[in-house]
Amino acid sequence: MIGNIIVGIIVFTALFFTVRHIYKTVSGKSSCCCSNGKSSGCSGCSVKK
Amino acid sequence: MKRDITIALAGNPNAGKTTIYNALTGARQHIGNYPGVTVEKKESFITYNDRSIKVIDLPGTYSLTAYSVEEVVARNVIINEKPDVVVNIVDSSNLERNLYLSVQLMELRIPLVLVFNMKDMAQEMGIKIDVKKLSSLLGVTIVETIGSKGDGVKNILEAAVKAAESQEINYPVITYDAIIERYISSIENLISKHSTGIENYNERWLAVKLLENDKDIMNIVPSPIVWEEVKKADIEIEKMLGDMPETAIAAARYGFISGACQETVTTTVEARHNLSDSIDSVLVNRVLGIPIFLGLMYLVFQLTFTLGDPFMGWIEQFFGWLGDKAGEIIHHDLLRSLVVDGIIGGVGGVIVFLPNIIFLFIAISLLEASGYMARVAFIMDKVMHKIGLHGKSFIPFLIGFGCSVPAIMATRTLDNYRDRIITMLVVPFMSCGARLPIYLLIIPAFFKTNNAFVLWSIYLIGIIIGMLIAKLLGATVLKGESAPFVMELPPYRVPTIKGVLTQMWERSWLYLKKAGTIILLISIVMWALTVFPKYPAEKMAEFTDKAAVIEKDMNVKISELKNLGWNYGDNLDILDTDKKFTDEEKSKILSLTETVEKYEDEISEINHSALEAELEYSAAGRIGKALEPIIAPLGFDWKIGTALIGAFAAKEVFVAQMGIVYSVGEADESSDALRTKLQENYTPLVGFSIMIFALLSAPCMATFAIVRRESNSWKWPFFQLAGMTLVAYFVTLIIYQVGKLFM
Repeated sequence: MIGNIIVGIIVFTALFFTVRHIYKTVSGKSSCCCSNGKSSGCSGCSVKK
Repeated sequence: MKRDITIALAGNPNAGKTTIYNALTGARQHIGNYPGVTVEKKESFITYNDRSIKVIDLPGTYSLTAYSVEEVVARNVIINEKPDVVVNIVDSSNLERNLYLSVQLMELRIPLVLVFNMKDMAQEMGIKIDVKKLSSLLGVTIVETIGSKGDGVKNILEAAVKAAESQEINYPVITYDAIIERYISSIENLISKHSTGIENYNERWLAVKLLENDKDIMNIVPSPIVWEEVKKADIEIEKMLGDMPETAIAAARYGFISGACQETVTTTVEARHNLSDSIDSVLVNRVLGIPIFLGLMYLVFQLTFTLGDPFMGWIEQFFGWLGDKAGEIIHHDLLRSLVVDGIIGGVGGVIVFLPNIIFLFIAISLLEASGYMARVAFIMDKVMHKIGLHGKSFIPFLIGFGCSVPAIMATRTLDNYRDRIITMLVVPFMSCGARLPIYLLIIPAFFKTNNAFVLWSIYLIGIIIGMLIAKLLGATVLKGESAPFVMELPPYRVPTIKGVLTQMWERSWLYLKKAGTIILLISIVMWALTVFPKYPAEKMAEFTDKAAVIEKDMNVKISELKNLGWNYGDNLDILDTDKKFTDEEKSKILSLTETVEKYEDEISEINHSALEAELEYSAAGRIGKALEPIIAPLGFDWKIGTALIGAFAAKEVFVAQMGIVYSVGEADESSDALRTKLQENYTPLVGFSIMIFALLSAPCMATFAIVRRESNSWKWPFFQLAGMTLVAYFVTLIIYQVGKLFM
């Protein structure tokens, strides 16, 4: 029983944060600005939007 | 009478400035065939077309840095007296050195006319300049003159008046190394917040001058906060680039000039012949350039596999061990499946490829930092023109090999909206780092040899299809002319260890962070979708009952074997030589063993069918099954279908989801590498089709969002999403169906 509850909590927490992440990214509200212009991607970004 | 205007004549010492000044004004200033004749400014007034014109002859300077009195005088006149137009006299026979001052004048963002003087001398030296093209590249009017004969002098006045009247500034902005640009931007911000009395100055120019350690400008911007930032920039830039900021800035300006001259001057007899020029004669060669680039890419991929493989094996073993240990510790079935199949199977499957990614990005950052990547854009210029874009669009393509998001932001350097949109739409065809784990999973699984060649061909297919699509877009929905640009050719530099390691660390950290955050979250959700809803117990009982009946029969046969004195599982090779059995007994043992093996296969088949039924009953299975009719012609089953949907969130999720599906679908909880499982279930053709689909299909959601933001429209991201999915579908369909005919 406790095992099932733990699994349930983990899955729903992951689902919440996944949806939140997708919403923030697609709506452009993500904190990553990716403006460093390097091929390394969005890391090392010093300028916040 | 029309408005009075002021023209300032600037130029290198001995560029013939005073000759032009005399020809314009009729003055008799002293002319000398050696540098530095004009040491202070001279002024004259003339009338031209019913207009009074003040002509200022500035001292000859090589640059606008405050190294000498002449430079300071020239600069102060331009900034403080604000002439309506600056006429820059350039010695045509020494173009590249003279253009260094022109570039600095362009950076001041003031109306400018270039006068290519001594046209005759340049011609005598065999220098042929495509003035029209150069003028279009620099966004400046260029007038050709022979000052000593007075040829073209009237054209100077005409062009200068026109420039003074229009006050138009269309010059390209010179972009410096990413780290310099970052500091220019932060210093600009600080200047605008903390400085007063700088209305005459362009803030970007002030920031560049401060980075060049210009003492005069430091007095103009007496803000300790700004100075502090400049000091920080000094240290950081030198660490990253291995050069002082002023050297790196000068190198970028020369790179810009060198690029412009490469495109417009056929025989540049230039004093700055150096090692870079010698290397360029091979690497930027019209014939050898592209084959060398393709060869280098092949070498990079070969190194990625060769160096990365042993490390990858260790990480794979580690996750196998971790999965086994977690399985032993956690007794709750569902929780164990979540941890072992969902988290370790999903995230572990992605982390395994970290070493290859590290090696690939070390190689790419070495090529970038050395200045070679800028050459690649240059050598691709001709090809890019053929598809209706300029070579400058290839720079976002190159950045796109790392990540499409910064690549799409890099399209900001393209002024023309049409060029920007086309480049933005095709950048995701350049294979980004997130797709790399998919190739690294599939290539060694299906292609025993030529791993590097397969990877190289995938990247090449991406480039070719991207270019074809760009051509198609340029000829249909986005018709028009591409805007001219200067391709910069910075000097070659030995990459600094810190610079390369920093970039490698950034890339690796980004990958690990992604694996530990969004990939982890999606893996958990994907696991839940693969496990729930649970298969009904009564239906599962049908399988277990069937297996139990066979198991019972099997146990009877095993007992019969035992009665004959033989343990099932013993090595049959020793039976032949074993004297304690008669021939009849031996034959019976063999027959019984065969029957038991058959029963075992049947049980394994039933277990496999039960797991398949369980998977197909799950939410992921149902989604995949619904998709199957559409993706089956591509050779994909429902498992691949669900993984491809997950890949929209982040491309690496494909690997994670395949890991989960094959981990959940394993009856014996074996820790076989995912690649082995793929080998057992798919053909190399399906493997190749998966890679092509992953390469060409819809970009990830971060790319979708950035296209939306950068294009300021919903139309283009949706167009890209739909277009890329269709392209991926049809290209994969052709590859799979044609491939099937030969396999």
